[in-house]
Amino acid sequence: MPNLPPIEIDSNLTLKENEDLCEKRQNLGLQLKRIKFDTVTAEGNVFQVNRAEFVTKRSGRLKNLFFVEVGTKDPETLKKEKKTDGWTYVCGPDKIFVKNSLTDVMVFGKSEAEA
Amino acid sequence: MQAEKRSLPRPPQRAAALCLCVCFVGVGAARAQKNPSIFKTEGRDNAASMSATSMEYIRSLESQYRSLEATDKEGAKRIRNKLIYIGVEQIDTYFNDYRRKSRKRNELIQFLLDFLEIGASTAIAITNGERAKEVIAEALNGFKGGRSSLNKNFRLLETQILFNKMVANRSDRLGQIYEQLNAEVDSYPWERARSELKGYLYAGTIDDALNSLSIETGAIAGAAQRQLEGIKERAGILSALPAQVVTESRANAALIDPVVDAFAAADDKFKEADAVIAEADKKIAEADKKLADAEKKIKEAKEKSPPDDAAVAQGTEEKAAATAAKAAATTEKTKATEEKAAATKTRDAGMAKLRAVYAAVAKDSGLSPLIDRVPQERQFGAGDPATKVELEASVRRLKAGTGTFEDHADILRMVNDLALNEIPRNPALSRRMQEILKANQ
Repeated sequence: MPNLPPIEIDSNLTLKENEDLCEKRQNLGLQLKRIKFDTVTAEGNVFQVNRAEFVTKRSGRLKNLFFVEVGTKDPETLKKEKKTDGWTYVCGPDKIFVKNSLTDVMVFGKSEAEA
Repeated sequence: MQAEKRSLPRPPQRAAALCLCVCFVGVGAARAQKNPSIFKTEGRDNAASMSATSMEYIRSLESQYRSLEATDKEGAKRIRNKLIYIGVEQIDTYFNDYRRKSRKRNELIQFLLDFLEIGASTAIAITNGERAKEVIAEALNGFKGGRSSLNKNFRLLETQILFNKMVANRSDRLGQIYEQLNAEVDSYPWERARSELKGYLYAGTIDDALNSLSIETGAIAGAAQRQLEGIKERAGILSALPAQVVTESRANAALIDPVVDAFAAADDKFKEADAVIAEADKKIAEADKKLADAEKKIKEAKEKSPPDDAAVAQGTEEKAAATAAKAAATTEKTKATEEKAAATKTRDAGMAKLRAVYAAVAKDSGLSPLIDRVPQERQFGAGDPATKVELEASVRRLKAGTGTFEDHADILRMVNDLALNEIPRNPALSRRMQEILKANQ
């Protein structure tokens, strides 16, 4: 698989909508590596985006992603909690735009696709 | 005498009152213009309306129109046009009266507030006593607040914008009516003209101006929004996925993934078995060498005179160990060969499924164009020349029937992604992809 470019997601989306877009991109045989806020300049306009980077993973990827707002929780505690629930840590905490507001987010994944 | 003295204002207050009176007198000097007599109602010189036409005359015209409508169409057309002109004149009169009154009312309110503010400011300057000054200052604040509230709530400053819109709307409607003046009474009867005159009258109201402004600004905002969405799309910025795309993306992935996963697992086993076989072959070769060495040793020991029994015994032991090692390696190899065969079978089955899916996609008139689109798509890295070359090579190999597992898996997944993206415009493509995947499970 050639190196596919990262995707840029509109800043006005919800956490779930970001999650859905990353899962669809993963279905190309990729695994999310990192998602972080950024800006894109196009035709003289500056747009706020979330940039999601992926690595090739043709089989055995974490198909079901789970984006979690960190909030006031300790990231390490959150990691342990999610591990207990069967989630594998993917990336974060990183700031991404959620409905145009910067939010600290951690991403977890499971091999079984979402029902 | 004392009481008389108290009742008279003090000199500074007298001066202030005098200034205020002069202001009032000055303002009152402006007089309204008289209307030309031609605009006065026929036979009613004192009528308040500026319209030149009486109701009796209008009724007589309507009656003439009805009698001529069937017999003299040209005559009826002239009467209809006369009625239109009268209607336009009356509506113009109504609109101008309304505009003049509204402007006067606004100017009077603004003047009154100016007057009170200036008066209060002057009074503060000339009044003695802190308490009195405080009271007047509070009143002044009240006037200022009142003006700002009045301007804000009654949008007095926006009224001119609305009047401008009314003038533009009226002009449009009047243009439409005047375009029909040459039309025959059959296609453009007085009744229709009267209905359009009502539209002309309504075009001079605040409601209509607000409505059309709201439609225009809404349309401008909508167009700007669409333009921005277009820029985002061209820049490749992704927006929220429709629910159907999310659902079908999962469904299609659930059909492709098992085939790819099974192939990948079998391929891993195949490679593992291959490595075991290579290792076993190495062991067998070593054992064969040891076996040959041991046999040579035994032979040489036996040929000695007298024969070297100890060397024969050692050689025999080494030969037995080499034979055992060879047997173990052969067993390992046999097992690995069986595993390799099983893995090859699974791998070939996976590859056959992927080839069948590709063949079906390539045969499908809707999906096959998507194969050629893959290397051109920005989302798959068309902007990067190396990626584009790599994707083009994959597509070429697939078309030539020499595609690898990776070529099949990658290009089919990309074609599936393009079909999913087409769902809002052509949902049939994704469904077709799903059918092909289901048929080749």
